[in-house]
Amino acid sequence: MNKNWRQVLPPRNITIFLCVVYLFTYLLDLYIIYLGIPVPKDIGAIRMPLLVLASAFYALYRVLNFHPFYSRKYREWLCLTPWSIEKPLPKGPVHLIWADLIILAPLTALAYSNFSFMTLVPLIVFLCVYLVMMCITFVAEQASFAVLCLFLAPFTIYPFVNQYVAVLVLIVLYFICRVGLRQFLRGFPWNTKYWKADTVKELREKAISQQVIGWPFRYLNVYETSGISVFGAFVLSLLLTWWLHVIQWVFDESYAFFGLFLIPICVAFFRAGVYAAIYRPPISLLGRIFTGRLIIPGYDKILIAPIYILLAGTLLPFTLGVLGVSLTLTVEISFFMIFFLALSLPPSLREWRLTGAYRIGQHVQKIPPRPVTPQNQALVEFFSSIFKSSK
Amino acid sequence: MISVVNVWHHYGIKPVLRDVSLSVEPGELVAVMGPNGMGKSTLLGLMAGVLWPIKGYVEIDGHRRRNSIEEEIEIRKKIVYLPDNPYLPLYNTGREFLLAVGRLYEVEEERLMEHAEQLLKLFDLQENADSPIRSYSAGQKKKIGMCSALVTEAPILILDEPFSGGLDSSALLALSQILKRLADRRDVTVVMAVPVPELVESVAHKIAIIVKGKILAYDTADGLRKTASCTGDLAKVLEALIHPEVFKNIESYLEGRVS
Repeated sequence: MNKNWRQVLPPRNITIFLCVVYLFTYLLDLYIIYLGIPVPKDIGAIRMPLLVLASAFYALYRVLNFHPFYSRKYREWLCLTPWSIEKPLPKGPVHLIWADLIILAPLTALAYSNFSFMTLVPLIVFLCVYLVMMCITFVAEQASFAVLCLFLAPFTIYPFVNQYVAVLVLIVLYFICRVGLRQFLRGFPWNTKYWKADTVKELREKAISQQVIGWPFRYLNVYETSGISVFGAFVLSLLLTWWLHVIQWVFDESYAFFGLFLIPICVAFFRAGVYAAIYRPPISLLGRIFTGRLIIPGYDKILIAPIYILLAGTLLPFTLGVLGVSLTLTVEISFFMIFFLALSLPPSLREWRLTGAYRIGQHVQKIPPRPVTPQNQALVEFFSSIFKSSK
Repeated sequence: MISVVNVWHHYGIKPVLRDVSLSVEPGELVAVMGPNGMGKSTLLGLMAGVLWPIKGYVEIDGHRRRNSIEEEIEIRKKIVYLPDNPYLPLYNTGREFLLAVGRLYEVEEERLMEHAEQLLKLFDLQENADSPIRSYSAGQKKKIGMCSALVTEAPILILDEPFSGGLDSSALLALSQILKRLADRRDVTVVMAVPVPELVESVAHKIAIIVKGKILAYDTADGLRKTASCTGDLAKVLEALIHPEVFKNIESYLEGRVS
């Protein structure tokens, strides 16, 4: 217990800073009382953002500092050790342990003392941030856990908003993530599609993402994004529709009607943009007209999906309306179809990049990104030090 | 083997390439020459796969470009294209850039480190290897671009104006000799666009001359001399082929001029 406590202890400097700021707000209260100004009953609520911030920070610290997913150096080092799933992670556990209560219990108690209506808010914020960070780790290999979590996550606020229900749902999600985490750790030394134990693939991806590589190598490489399967498109569309349903419930159902006009246009343009931003037509519009090549099938095929999306966005709601389907259901079926068409209609991005009749030129050449300047180097160092262990 | 078959290309209304056909055998070093704006870079872009021909097709080792995913992947693994002004990561070091490009072409890590070091030495970039590319001179930037193409160890090199851009004499010599030797060993096939003929004759196995989007001649240097019925250096041969009236005009100008 003592060892675990030391392992999960958040960085000392930040803890002290947050405590000092918190005490300062109390002193401010006392000063206001001393001045004889009437104190509002719910003045304690002003301290709630501070508690929320502390909870979010602790959740970030717990995942970023302990999960090998977020640290290449840690992963590389682990690969050199005889570590296995049966042994505890050397830096400390990623999963929650009783020692976490030493931080979370005071935060909850402070929330109760300040604003009893929001007692569980720090715990909810902690779990939300922790689970989001865990879900990100699942994209490497355990996508099904991420999808399951994303499907269940809206139940924290839907169909009714209650902090106790939210905590209950988050605890269920935590246990799903716990299984996912175990799956992840079992995959050691993690030769995933995002990195390899030997790190070459990871270095390559990093070079591409950090724009060390540009025109033309980047655009002629063979490591293009793999396409999404029809089943994947179906699940993702269902997920998006489900989230939109919840968002629609949280806000106002009447907004959904405007979404019916906006979403197909946005999705159609987005899809066309993804395909055409870098990969331009092989000949200009004037060239097409004057040479009589009004349609270039190899290039213009990327416009078929956006046309279908726009058609689905206009004809489907109309048809469902004629059939007497309710507005909510009409909107949701239409959204689902729009997302599904956008994600599943050919050509896939991979197919397009490798076989499309496009032209790429120097329009893709970007100015290399500037590195961190000495002026903001200190700031970057400060933020990176936050997540370093205080030991 | 690179085959360009009946290729036409337009950017706009005017065709840039007109019914161009060309075949480059494995291990050949071909220089594409011609006046500015005649389609040299377009032809190279089509071979490299950054452009799509409006008519005709390009084949690399029997695989047609952008015909199928598998064929295109095969081609892309074999071919490296270096345009006249490639992207350089100005805030990364030359060595970092070379290693990143090498990894993109799956060069084995240990060999990549060694090869990068050799190239940096060859092009006299060792002192600057670990400095950001933004501190390089124009010639050094050109050199690091060339190194990036060579470090890939790709069997087909498509180089757009590799000898221009401020290369010093030692770099010109190194580059021309490296390309020549690699081609002579049949290790690589090189197609390069070169606007000036000085370095070409000693390096190129064949020379393709493009004028107004058409291949005017495609032969060895001696073959071109025969075609042009002209002896002497390649510059004269080219002028005789591209601008047959130039010499006549010069003579008539000088004859008519009162000294």
